[in-house]
Amino acid sequence: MFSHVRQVGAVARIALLGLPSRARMSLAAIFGIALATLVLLGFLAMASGFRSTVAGAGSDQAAIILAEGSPSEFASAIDINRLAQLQNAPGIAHGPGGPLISPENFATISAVDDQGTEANLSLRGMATQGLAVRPLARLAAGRMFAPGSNELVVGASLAARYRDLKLGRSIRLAGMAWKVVGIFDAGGSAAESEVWADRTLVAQFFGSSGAVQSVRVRLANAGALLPLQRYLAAESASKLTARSEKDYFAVQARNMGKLILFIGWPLGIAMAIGALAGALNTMFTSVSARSEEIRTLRILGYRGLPVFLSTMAEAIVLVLIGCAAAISLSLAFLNGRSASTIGGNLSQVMFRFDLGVSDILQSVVVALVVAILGGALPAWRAARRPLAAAPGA
Amino acid sequence: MNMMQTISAPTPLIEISRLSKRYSRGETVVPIFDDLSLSIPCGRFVALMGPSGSGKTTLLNMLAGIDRPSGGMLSIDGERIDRYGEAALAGWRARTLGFIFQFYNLMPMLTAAQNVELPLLLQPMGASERRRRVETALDVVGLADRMKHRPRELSGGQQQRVAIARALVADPKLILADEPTGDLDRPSADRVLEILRLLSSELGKTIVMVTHDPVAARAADLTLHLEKGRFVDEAIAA
Repeated sequence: MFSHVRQVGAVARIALLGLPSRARMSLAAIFGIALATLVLLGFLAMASGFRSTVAGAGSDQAAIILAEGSPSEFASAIDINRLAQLQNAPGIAHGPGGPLISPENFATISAVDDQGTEANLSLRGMATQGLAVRPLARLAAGRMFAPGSNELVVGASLAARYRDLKLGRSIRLAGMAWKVVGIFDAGGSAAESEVWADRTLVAQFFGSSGAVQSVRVRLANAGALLPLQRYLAAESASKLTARSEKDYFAVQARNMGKLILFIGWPLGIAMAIGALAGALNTMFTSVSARSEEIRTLRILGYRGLPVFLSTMAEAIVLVLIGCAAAISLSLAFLNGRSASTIGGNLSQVMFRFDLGVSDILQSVVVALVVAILGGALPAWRAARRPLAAAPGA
Repeated sequence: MNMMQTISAPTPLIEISRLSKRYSRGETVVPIFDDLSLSIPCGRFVALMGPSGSGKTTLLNMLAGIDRPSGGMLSIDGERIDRYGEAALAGWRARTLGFIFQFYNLMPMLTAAQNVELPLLLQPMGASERRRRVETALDVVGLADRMKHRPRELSGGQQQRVAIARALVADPKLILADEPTGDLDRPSADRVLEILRLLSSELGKTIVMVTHDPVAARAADLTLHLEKGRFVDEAIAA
């Protein structure tokens, strides 16, 4: 047994020490796997970042009320006449001006970012209590918009990136100028990718006056959600459902994360298959270049298994070098970097690439699969090649 | 015709009886040799000569357990290696055989000492014992001062002497040499032959050497000539 380990060590050492003489092919394999791993890590970091950005937008001290059966705010429509009834619903916290309720709807606006690129953004129409119903949001600068005025309060992520949305600037929307009077902070969550304005104006100028899409409420206490849900369920009119903000965004995050991974994994796998072809080619070339060396060792008494394992070791080392390079590059240049993607209402959502340990481990597993698949066949050939050729062959 | 070559001595190390080898090329069967018998006692230095295609390399490969006979019996040091599988043959080679290649076949990335150590890694042996044996083997071939040199830093003759040290270091009973002087100039070849003679006469190693070089063959105790798969005569060194 010990002799077997020593054999593997000796043959692997020879294979690895010989790598510089096969530098070009080895570098090609390393580059291929690095590229595939980079793409995969990019998508994994994007999904993780997006998930935490969206999931972080929800609190269990607030609830969101939607029309029954609507999976998200964007697919929901609540008759505006139902709002009066919600004023008396149980479980809702009260502020100086009455129950903390904010009927809300969305519009999509376009703005130009600091690089001059135009993008669609979410304009959320809300009550002036919209800030008070959101436990995770606070004004970072300026003030809340005045009721009935064409003023905007902008998420910090957008304000940092869009020149027209910085505090004090104005932007033309629906044919009139809207002034940015406040910047809100929501802990870097997806909420910071929104622009807030007075709901009645948004409804008037962006055409959704007959209904609201959702109603956001601040819950009175930790156990307040259930009475609210029961109250809504007991209504005979078209049903409304309430769920905690935290649950709502967790589901949204999961769905969007899945969508990103649904695209990312196949692309990563396609790249990995390309890298596998490269690894196979490299390893076959390596085995061919080492054929006399392998034959010599086997004539000296080395068995096929150490030769097989040493070839596998070479494949694994090459792949792990590529993988490590990709991980290093991702950590240095990708992790924490801000980006934007299309959210649920086809508008921009800002997020940060978030490369976690599990993402790195997943990429290492994919790389090892490439190494094993790319190394096994050449290694098998190396270990089984006849030591003596037929005369004249 | 059964040609039996017996070199008189009491204990045969190599015993071949009615050995045959055929290769198939499509539907054509190409016989290399048929009904070959040979007995070589311990400690003899035998040169194997013959024209290309005579079967001498095939015979050497069979003695090394890297090619299989089509029929007959092949016993080395009492072991019927013609019945062994690949793994058993590898173990047998590690225990019993030293092999010298025409083009040295040293690992270019390893030092002379590391090259010589390779067969010892197959043995249950500690590092200090391996180091001692490597030093002794390199000393025997006159390269004790070249232990840390890599093959590219050595002449052809020196590289072949390292290869001889590698073949010798595990103290095998049998050393097979495939044209060991074929790539060397005369002085280097003579030095290599001198060492091979020493291994046979002083250390009692049994050596079978394939060669085209009559001068090299004269270093052996006995020269066997193989033609078209048969031994045609023998010459015993003076």
